[in-house]
Amino acid sequence: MADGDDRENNRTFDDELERALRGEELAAPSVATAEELATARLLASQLARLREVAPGVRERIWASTQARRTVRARTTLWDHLSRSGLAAGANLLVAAVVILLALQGALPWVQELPRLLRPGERGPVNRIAFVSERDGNAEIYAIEPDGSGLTRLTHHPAFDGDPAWSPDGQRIAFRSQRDGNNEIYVMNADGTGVRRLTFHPADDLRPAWSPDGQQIAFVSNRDGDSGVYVMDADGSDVRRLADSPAPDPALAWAYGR
Amino acid sequence: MPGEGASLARLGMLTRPIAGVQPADAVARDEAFAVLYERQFGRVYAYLRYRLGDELLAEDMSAEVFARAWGKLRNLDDPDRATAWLFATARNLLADHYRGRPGCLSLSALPAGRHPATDSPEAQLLTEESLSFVSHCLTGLSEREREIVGLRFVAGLRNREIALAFGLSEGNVAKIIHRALAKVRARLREEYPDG
Repeated sequence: MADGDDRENNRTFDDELERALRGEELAAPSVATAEELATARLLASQLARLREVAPGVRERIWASTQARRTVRARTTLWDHLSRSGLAAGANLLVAAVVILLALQGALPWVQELPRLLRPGERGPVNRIAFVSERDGNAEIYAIEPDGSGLTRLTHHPAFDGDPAWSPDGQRIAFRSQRDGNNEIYVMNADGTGVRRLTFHPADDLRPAWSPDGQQIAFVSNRDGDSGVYVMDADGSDVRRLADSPAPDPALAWAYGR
Repeated sequence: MPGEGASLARLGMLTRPIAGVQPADAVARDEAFAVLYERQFGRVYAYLRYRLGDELLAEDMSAEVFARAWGKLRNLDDPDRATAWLFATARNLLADHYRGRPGCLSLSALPAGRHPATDSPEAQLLTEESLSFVSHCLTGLSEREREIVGLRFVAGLRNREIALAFGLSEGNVAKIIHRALAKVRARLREEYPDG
C-alpha cells in the first residue's frame, strides 16, 4: 500500500475512533476495510466502557478522600493553621496544651496512641534482619518483608550474628567475634557506625533491647555459668539479673513490669 | 455551580460547617472542592483504573489525588489548570507506584476508609474484558503513548489539557496521539490482513 493511502487510512481510523467515542454514526467504509472499521469500532466501544464508573465508586472515593484529609489535618498542624486561620488557631492551642501535658508525663495515655504513618515514612522495624553465609562467612543482612531491598550490613571475615533491632528501628545490636571472642556490638540500621559494647574474655551473646530502647539484655558466661545480663544501651552499667537461670536460646523482654 | 453543591449537600457529602467555628470562606471552599470532585472524580478514577488494571487500587489512588488537591485548591480556579494538575498528580503517584515506592497512604484499615467493593461480578468481568482488549490493542505503544492515549480516550481530556499536564505543546500532543493510533492500526491490520 502506498504511503499516501496509509496516511489516508490512518486518518480514517482516527476519525472513526473519535466519532465512535462521541457516539456518532460511523461513516461508510471508504479506504479502510470493513473489518478494520469494525475493529476500530470495537476498540472505541471498549474504551468508552472504560469511562463508565460503577455506582458506589463516587461515594467510596469521596469517603476515602475525606479520611485522608482528616488524617493529614491532624498530622500537619502548621499547614492546617496557615490554611484555615483562626479556627485552626483554636485547635492548635488545644493541641499544644495536650502535647505539653504529654511531654510532662501528665497524660501517659497520649504516648500509647498508635500513630498513623505519613506518606513515605517508614515505620520502626519494617525490615527483617537475618544472618547468611551467602558471601562466604556469617554476615548480617536486612531485607524488606516483601523480599526486596536486600542489603548486606556487616563486612567482616569474623562471625557476625544474633541481630536485634532497637525498638525505634534505628539501630541493630548484634554479636561478633571480630575482636577474638563473642562480644555485643551495635550499629546503625544501614550498617554504619559499628560500636563495641562489651569487653570481656568470656562469651557475650544474643542481645535483646528493652522496649524503651534504653537497655540491652544479653547472655554471658562471664561468671562461669550462663546467665542473663543487662547493660545500658551504650554498654555501661553491666549487671547480672539475680537468679537468672540458664537461658533459652533467645532472649526477649516481657512488657508490663 | 450552586446546583451541584446543593445536590452534594443533600447526599451529606459536604463537610458540615460547625456554627460559629468554621469561617464562611471555609464553607465556600468545601463547596468548590465538592464541585471539583463531582466534575473530575469519574475521569480520574477511569484513567487510574486503565493504568493500574485494578479497581480498588484505582479508588485508593484517586482518593489520594483529591486529598492532595485539597491543599492546592486555591490554585485550581481555572478548570483547565485544575484538570492538568489532577492528572499530573495522578501521573506522579503512578510513577511512584511503579517504582515500588507507594506514596499513597492506605487507609483500608480505617473504618472511614474503604468498604468492600459492591460492584456486581458481571460489571467487574466486563471491565476486565475491556481492559484486556484495550491493552491487547495497545501492545507495542511506548509508555508515554499509552499514557496519552488513555488521557485522551479513557479520561476524555482535550489535547490542551494533556499538553498542560505534560508540559508539551498542543501540536505535539496531537502528533503523539496520531502516531500512536497509526501504530494501533498497523497492529490491527496484521491481525486482520484481508478484512
